[in-house]
This record gives sequence, structure tokens and C-alpha cells, in this order.
Amino acid sequence: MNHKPFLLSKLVGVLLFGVLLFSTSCERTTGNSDTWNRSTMLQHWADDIIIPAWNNFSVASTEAVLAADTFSLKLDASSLETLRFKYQVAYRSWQKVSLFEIGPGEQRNIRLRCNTYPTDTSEIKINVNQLHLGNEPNLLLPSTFTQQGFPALDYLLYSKGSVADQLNYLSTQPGAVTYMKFLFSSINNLANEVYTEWSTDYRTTFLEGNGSSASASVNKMANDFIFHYEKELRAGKVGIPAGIFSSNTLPHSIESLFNPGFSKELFQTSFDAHVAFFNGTSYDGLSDGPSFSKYLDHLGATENGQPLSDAVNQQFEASQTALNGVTESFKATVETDNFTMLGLYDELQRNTIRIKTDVMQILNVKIDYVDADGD
Amino acid sequence: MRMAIRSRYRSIYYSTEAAPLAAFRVLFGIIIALSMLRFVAYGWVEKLYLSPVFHFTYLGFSWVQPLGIWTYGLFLLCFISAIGVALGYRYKLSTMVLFLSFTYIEAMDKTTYLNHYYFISIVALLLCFLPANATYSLDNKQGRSCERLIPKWTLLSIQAFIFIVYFYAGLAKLNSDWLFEAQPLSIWLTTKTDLPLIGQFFESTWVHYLFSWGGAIYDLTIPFLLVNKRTQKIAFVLVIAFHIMTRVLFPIGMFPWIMIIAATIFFPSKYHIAFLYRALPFLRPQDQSEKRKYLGSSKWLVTLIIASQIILPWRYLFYPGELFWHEQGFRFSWRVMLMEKQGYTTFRIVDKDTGESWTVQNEEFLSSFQEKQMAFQPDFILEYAHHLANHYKATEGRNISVYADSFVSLNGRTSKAFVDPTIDLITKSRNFQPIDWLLPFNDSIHGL
Repeated sequence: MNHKPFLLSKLVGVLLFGVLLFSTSCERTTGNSDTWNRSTMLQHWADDIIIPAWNNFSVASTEAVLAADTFSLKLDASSLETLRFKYQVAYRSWQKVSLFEIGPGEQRNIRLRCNTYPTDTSEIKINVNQLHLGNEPNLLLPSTFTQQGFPALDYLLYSKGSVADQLNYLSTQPGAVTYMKFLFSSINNLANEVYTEWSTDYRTTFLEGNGSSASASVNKMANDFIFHYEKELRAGKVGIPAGIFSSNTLPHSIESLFNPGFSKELFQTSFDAHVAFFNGTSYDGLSDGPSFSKYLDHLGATENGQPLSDAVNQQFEASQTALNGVTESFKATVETDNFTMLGLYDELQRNTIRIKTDVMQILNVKIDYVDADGD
Repeated sequence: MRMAIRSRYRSIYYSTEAAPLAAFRVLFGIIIALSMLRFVAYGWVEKLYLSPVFHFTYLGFSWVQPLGIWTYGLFLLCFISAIGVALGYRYKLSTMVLFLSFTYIEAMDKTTYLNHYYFISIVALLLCFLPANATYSLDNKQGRSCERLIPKWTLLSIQAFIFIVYFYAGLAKLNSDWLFEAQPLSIWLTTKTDLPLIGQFFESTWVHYLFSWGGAIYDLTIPFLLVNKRTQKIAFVLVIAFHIMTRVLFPIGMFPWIMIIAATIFFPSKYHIAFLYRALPFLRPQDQSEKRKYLGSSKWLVTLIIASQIILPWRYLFYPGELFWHEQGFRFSWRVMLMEKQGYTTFRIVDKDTGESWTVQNEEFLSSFQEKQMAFQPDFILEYAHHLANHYKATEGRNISVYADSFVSLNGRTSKAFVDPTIDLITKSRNFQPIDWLLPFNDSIHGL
């Protein structure tokens, strides 16, 4: 009478214990060439991309601090030009680390502190006066995020336009140079702290997170990557100024507002950093290693018969083509030819969709740590 | 034959030992109490119920909202009532409070919907009408209830419910994606190669199929194996092995422990009697001579609950189109671990008076978890669209249309457009009618 269930129990038993036996009877092969090695990928990310990027930012921001010191002593046109140049080098270097806020950067709110824009010029003026009276603003307060970082320096270094006018402003406005130096050194301190932590303790932590849970490094990097692409690159640099999220265009919300001719270069640098990270290109651009794109290839992810990684890269190329049609100043483009800006947004959006659905699905990325039974 | 059926039917009124139901009551109460502690300790009350400015509600239950800081009080109430159930203290009141508080918590935001939360709600509801406090309870000690024997149907009802859950979960796995594509397990297992010992096999296709077929066979057969006295022991070993495996592989919280505990209800009563005798000496009944008949009226309520469990999962048959795509009738149907679905949905607003248009930044209204869940579930998308309309009406006095740009990928398929982007979602109301504003799936998943 109970014959059938008994047979079924044997079947299930054989199936499950078969797996168990098979698993335990095999010697554990570490570094199995067949399975994807997360540790190797994390090591490549840390040693060849992320740590060099923070190192570069640390060096570039130190040089900017030195240039600011020199300028404060000389207060002449040539040292202002040097300072502007060093500022631009540091700002470009920032674009290559902004994507890697994970860990020590996040702890310090470094992205908000270095690059919240549009900046609040009236608060900056108040800070300049206050600093002249000897009152240092507390840059740790979230309310001051719009009064510091590169966007605030953009105001202090470019708001009057020409070198001569800017020099005139800086040398006649008491407190302005002090505030500028104060901002440069706060960026530099953050950069040094993050770099130091990455090159010591955090590298170990990052590599140890080689699992597949929500808190593991690969999962976090995937979340950070798409977040940065969607919010910082697509929305912040392009979508918001182009008026996607408002009833009117907002040309004054571009990055590098007071030196708008620099905005495209900043975008390009950030965009390139995304493409390079996706493909595992090392910071110096000379070599490459394991990456999201190669992981997708390894997992056999396809889109309409072609590798999914190729589809992502082709869309990056389409975005680059759209970007080539935009003038150096995003502000001018939004004001006079927003159609082109919207075209760039659309191309960026196509990869947002692809990454948030297809790539995230295949990589099995979890948004957050909460229970889920898959429905 | 007829005689056999009739005598079978009569047998459900026969008296049976009260111990299995009592042991189940104790373990269930404890695990729910622990779940509440865990939930609060992880900071999820704040994260899931207090920080979000908007909550997704069940149709007809939009009045169920978090209670601000008093939400913690609700969790405390749930915790206390779970302890009350475990101890069998003022049992009727405790089970009612447990059912209501737990269900209220789950209904505050459907973003957090999990089948095992629903399972807990139904078990708590059943317990309201079952004499699980008949023995080894404070009620018993204090003379409010004292019975060694209870009607057999009361025990059978819990067993029947667990039977249905497993069997229906198994039926739901009999679909072409699960059996012939090994999806979504293929996606989920492939990225778990970091697990010791077994991880190295998770990129092999045969392992994906083994787990898919093994899972389906397990769900379909385990209820029979648990019912059958000859196979109970092996069944329990399988239950433990299976649920520990799911615990290792997936972030499913307390679910494995709850199901392992639930399976013990099938054991012969001698185990429960021995367990209760050793584990709860302070609740050991003194005098069980007094016998009172258990109230018969609850029988029909319990029958109704069990019947609803048999019928409700089939409601999807009333909705045309692919169930996995439109998800009408997907929840509350024991469809567990069936889909890997990722979506990306943004909303275009058009001011009907001025013609102005813009796209909503979802993070202004939703948490990252809510946004993720909203992006691929049509009822979420519609509710959110209406919320946006209400918001812009209330804050800016605008009359708006809301259009969704939505893309969804399902079980490894390339993503495709989900919501018809030309339809103003405000013209669609929230109801149980079939959804007519989604684009077709253009693929088929065969099966139940």
C-alpha cells in the first residue's frame, strides 16, 4: 500500500545524497580554471585600478595644495595660471576615483565633500568673511557640502573669468585665498586618508569579501558601478542640466559652472573611467584583467545572439559618438542645442536599462541585505 | 469502498493526543518571537517601515500604514503574543493578537512580501481556532483548559495546510523554465562558486538541472513521505537537508527553520509527549481527568481556511497572458523561488494644463529596495503612478498624466519593454480586473 511513496523517497534520497557524496569525494581544487575566480578579479581591481587611482588623486591634490601655497605667497597671474592648471589636473583625477567610493571613501562622504554641485555661492561668500574673522567652517557638516570641494573652488578660481579679473578678486577679497587653501587642503587630507587606508587595511578587507552575498565586494562594486553610472554620470552631469527631471532646462546645474568649457572634459574622464572599469583596463591603460565584461562572457551572457558585454560596449561607443557632437561647454549646449544633449542622455539611458536589468540579472546582484525568497 | 470513505471521514472526529499540536504551538511561538527580535535587531523596522516616505499597500488595505515610532510597539505586541502562544497563556487572546499584529506588520508595505510571512499568518489564523493549549500550557495549569485528547481534525488541519504548501510549491515548479531551462536556479547557482566544497560545481549545467528537478520532486513528494509513517524518518532527514541547503544558498532568513519545525507535526505523538515532558517540566499537567468538549463551531472556519488555500492559488487562471509577466495571482499561491526578475522603470509626467513634462527621480519617493521591487511588478507600478499624481496635485496643484518607461528581464531572457509607454496610467484604476496596459511577453512559459 505504501510502496510508491517509499520508492519516491529512495529516488529523492539517491538524488540528494548523490550530490553530497560527489561533492565530498572530490578533492577540493582551489583556483579551478573552470570556475570564475572572484579573488583574482578583486585583486586586479584593487591593485591595478582602484589603488593606483587613489594614489594618483592623492598626488594630484597634494600638488594642487602646493600650487595654492605658492599662489598665496606670490598673488600673481602666472602662479594663478599654474594653480588653475593644477586644480584641473586634480579635478580630472577626482573623476577617476569618484566611482570607487566603496569603503574608506564612503566612510568620509568623500563624493559629497569633493563634488556636490551646483555650489552655493552666497554661503561661500559668508564663509570667506567668517574665515577672515577667524571662524573656520566645519566642513564635516552635511549642510556645508555645497560650500566645499571642486565646485566651490571652481567659483573661487573662475567666477570672474579672466586671470586678471580673478587675480583682482582673490587679492582684494579678504579671506578668499585663505578659504581656497582651506578647501584644497581638506580635499588633500581626504585623498591621503583614503589612499592610505586602501593601501593598508582596506585592501585586505576588500579582497577578503570574495563571496557572493550582498555585503561581498563584487556585489557592492556592481551596485556602486551602476549607481555611479546612473546618478552621477547620466543624471548629474547630463540629465539634470538638460531638464530631464524638471519642466525646464537647468544649464546652471552643470559641473564646472564657472569654467563651463571644462565640463565636457570632466564628463569624458568620468565616462572613460566607467568603460575602463567595466572592461578591466588597468589605471595606466597598459594592461587588462578580469572584469564585469569578462565575467559576463564567462557566464555566457548574450543579447540577441551576441555577447552581452559586446552589446554594452557598443552602446558605450554610441554614447561616445553622441558625446562627440556636444561642444566643450555643456552649459552652452544646453542653452543653444539641448536636442544634442538629450541625444547624449538617451544613449546613456540605453545602457542604464541594459545594466540594471540584463547585467544585474546575470551577475545576480542583490540591491540590499533583506530576506527574499525570489518572488 | 463507500464504507471505507465513511469510516475515514468519521475518523477525523476521533480523539487524538493533544501533544503534537501543543508542541507545534510552543515551537511556532518561539520561532516567531525570535523572528521579531531578529527583525528589530537588524534595524529593519527603521529601514523598511519608518524611513520610506511612501508605502506600497494591498488593494483595499491602504489604511494599513506604519504607526511611526509606535511601529516598534507593534513589533513588541507581536513578540509578547508569540511568547503568550508558546506558553499557552490566555491562548485565544494570544493567538488572535499574534495573527492580527503579524498580519498588520506584513500588510504595512507589500514590498517586503514573502511567502513564508504569509505562511506564518495563515498558521496563526488556524491556531486561533485550534485547541493547541489543551495541554502543556499556562491555561492548563491555571485550570482554564485541560484536555489530554483533542479531535483529530484539529491536528489534521495543520498537517493539511503544510501538505498544501509543499505540494503547490512543487506544482508551480512544473513549468518549462524550471524543468527545461533550469531557470532561475541556473542564474542563482552560477554566482555561488565561492561556497566551500560544492561551490566548484555550480557552474556546471547538470548541477542546475539536478537542483531544479530535485527541488520539484522534493516539493511534490515530501508531503506524502511526511504523512506516511514508514517514510517519516527519511522524510525528516530530507527536510533538514533540503532546508539547510536553501539556507546556505539563498538569503531566506528564518524560513528554513520554520519549515523544519513545521514538519515535526507529522510525527507520532510519543515524540511530542517525550519532548514536552523533558523541555517544559514547569508546564507539565497535574490532572487531566476533567474532560470538556472542544467547541465545534470552529471546525467550519478551519475548513474554510483550508479550502481557501486549495482554491486561491488557481485564481491566476482568470487572468489572460503569462503569469510570470503580469504576476496577477502570483502572490499568496506558494510560488516560491520561481523567478529571477529584474526591472527598470521610470515615470514621465506630463502636466495636462501646461504641457510641461519631466521624468521623476524615483529616489525622491522610494527606498532602493522599494524601487527595485516596484520596477517589475505591475500593481506596484500602478499604485506608485497614482501616488505621483496625488503628490503633484497636493503639492503643486497640477493635473498630470503619468507614463511609465519600463524594461524587465525574466529568467535569463534579454530585457524588453514592459509597460505600454503610450498609456496614461492615471486613466487606469487599481482593481482586480485583468491588466490591459502591459506589453505582451512574446514568449511562453508552459506549465501550471
